[in-house]
Amino acid sequence: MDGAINNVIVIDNEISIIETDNKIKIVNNNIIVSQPTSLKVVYKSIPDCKNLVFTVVSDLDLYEFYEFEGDSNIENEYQIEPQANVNRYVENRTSEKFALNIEETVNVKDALIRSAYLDLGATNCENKISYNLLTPGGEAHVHLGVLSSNSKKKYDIALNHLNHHTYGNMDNYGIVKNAGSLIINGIGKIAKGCSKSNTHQINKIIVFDKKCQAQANPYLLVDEYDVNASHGASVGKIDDQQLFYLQSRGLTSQQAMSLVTIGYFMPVINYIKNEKIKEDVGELLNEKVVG
Amino acid sequence: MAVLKIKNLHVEVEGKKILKGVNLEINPNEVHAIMGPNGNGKSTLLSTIMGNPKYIVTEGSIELDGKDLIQMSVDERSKAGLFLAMQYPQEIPGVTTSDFLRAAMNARREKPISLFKFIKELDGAITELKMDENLAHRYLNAGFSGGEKKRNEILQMKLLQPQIAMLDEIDSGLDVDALRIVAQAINEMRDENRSMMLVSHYERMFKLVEPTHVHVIVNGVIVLEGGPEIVDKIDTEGYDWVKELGIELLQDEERKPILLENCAHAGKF
Ligand SMILES: Nc1ncnc2c1ncn2[C@@H]1O[C@H](COP(=O)(O)OP(=O)(O)O)[C@@H](O)[C@H]1O
Ligand SMILES: [Mg+2]
Repeated sequence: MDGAINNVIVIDNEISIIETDNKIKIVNNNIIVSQPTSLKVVYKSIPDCKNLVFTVVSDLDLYEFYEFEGDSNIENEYQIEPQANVNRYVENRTSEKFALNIEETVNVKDALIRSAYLDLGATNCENKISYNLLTPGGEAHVHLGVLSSNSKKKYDIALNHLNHHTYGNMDNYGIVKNAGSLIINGIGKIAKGCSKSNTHQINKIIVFDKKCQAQANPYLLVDEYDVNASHGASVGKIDDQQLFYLQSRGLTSQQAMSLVTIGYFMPVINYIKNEKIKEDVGELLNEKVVG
Repeated sequence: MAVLKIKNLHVEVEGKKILKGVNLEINPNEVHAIMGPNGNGKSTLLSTIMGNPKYIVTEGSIELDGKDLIQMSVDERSKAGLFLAMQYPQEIPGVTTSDFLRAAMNARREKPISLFKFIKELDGAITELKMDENLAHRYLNAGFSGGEKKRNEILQMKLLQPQIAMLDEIDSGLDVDALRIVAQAINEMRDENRSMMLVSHYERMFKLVEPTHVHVIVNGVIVLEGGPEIVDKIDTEGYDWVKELGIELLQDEERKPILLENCAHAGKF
């Protein structure tokens, strides 16, 4: 796919299709993707009991933007059907301090999903994201970049291996500043009998000032021997030796800090195929992380 | 013209006394070899000159053209013409080599370098150092082999054109061909307005880049200095003669020099 966006949906109390190539179908709250395409979903306000189900039968480039206009709850479900190859980019662009509660269940059959979440939003949030790897060959990659600046955020991200030969990897990165707080719980679960599965996770938070609170907790719950599992977690200050290296090349300490922190989030860009969105996100990072 | 004067320098790391009174003067057009067994303070000396916050000066002075260097921030030192190719260059994931290099070049210019000129300079240096063509787009040192990291330090030196270039074990991790390329790049940088300080254990390095002065640091002090003949002395005799001077030889067990590019990661584990 060339990165063009072929379908646009806005959720503003109801589901409106703004643009479509007819490769997606909407039946009640169910968005069905049956042919390879790309889709952008913009969330403005969610009506009660109007949660979405995405049924993805084919390759999809999926972009989701939160631009909420009030406190919001999402309870979405994603069914990733066999052979689908899904590339997903989710960004919280909400600019006011609303409360978000997001629950995502992603059911992955013998398919591949790569998901990046970039949350530089001003909201407080409590998010629960679960990837259920249901059949052999199921593979999920998750990459989180979250900034908590003067807000309270909590992310539970789970990779649930529910069959043998499944693969899950997540890299969760956070930055906390301006007395913000952030908790990241990374959960890797391999059920009994799910041999030859791989689950890996890294959770890393950089804390800018003393008034911030941060926790990065890795959980590995493995009930099977023949598996490959790893985890890592750290909470710390920005590395002074990295800063020294950059400063020794002439960058001021402010410039060096900005580069390191932008670098922290930059890998989410690799999940974006659309050039325009890629560019916007680069600019947004410069503005939010540096400014 | 940059003149560096170090007088009676004492330095501590994490409360441990490392340098115990170093005196050194570096003038333009000079190349100083700093030798000595592992763990005796060579990197400490160079890192302190560059301003690494881990290293605390407890006594003595460092002056650059009469200015107190110790009061200057690290980036000011860089802009004043100092450069340190580090023994263990940092990895900065997420920051592309080209973004970093452009920021570093712009840091010492009034007007930002044009993209065209930057790419031309960078590509020229990459070709000359026989580095990965894709280098500019890779994250800074992230996942680089030991040899690639060392060449990347030389690349930065070429682009930043410092007055005083300090190269810390630039030859470790390089195979013979890479060493020759790096030595040539260093020799091309030699000129009457520039000086260098080179830390290495190996005679072959100092055969390729001939020093004008040689200093041997043991246990935080310079125990011997002179001309290139000292390199040969150490190559044939090692450092045992130091004991006869009544000075204790410190041996750093953990850090052994690594010679071959393909075992460059061995030191980490
Ligand atoms: N960052 C550091 N933290 C703790 N000890 C250090 C650090 N850097 C150097 N040292 C100690 O200081 C001594 C001198 O080290 P260094 O200057 O690196 O030696 P050299 O470069 O001559 O091998 C060694 O004992 C080393 O263990
Ligand atoms: Mg050293």
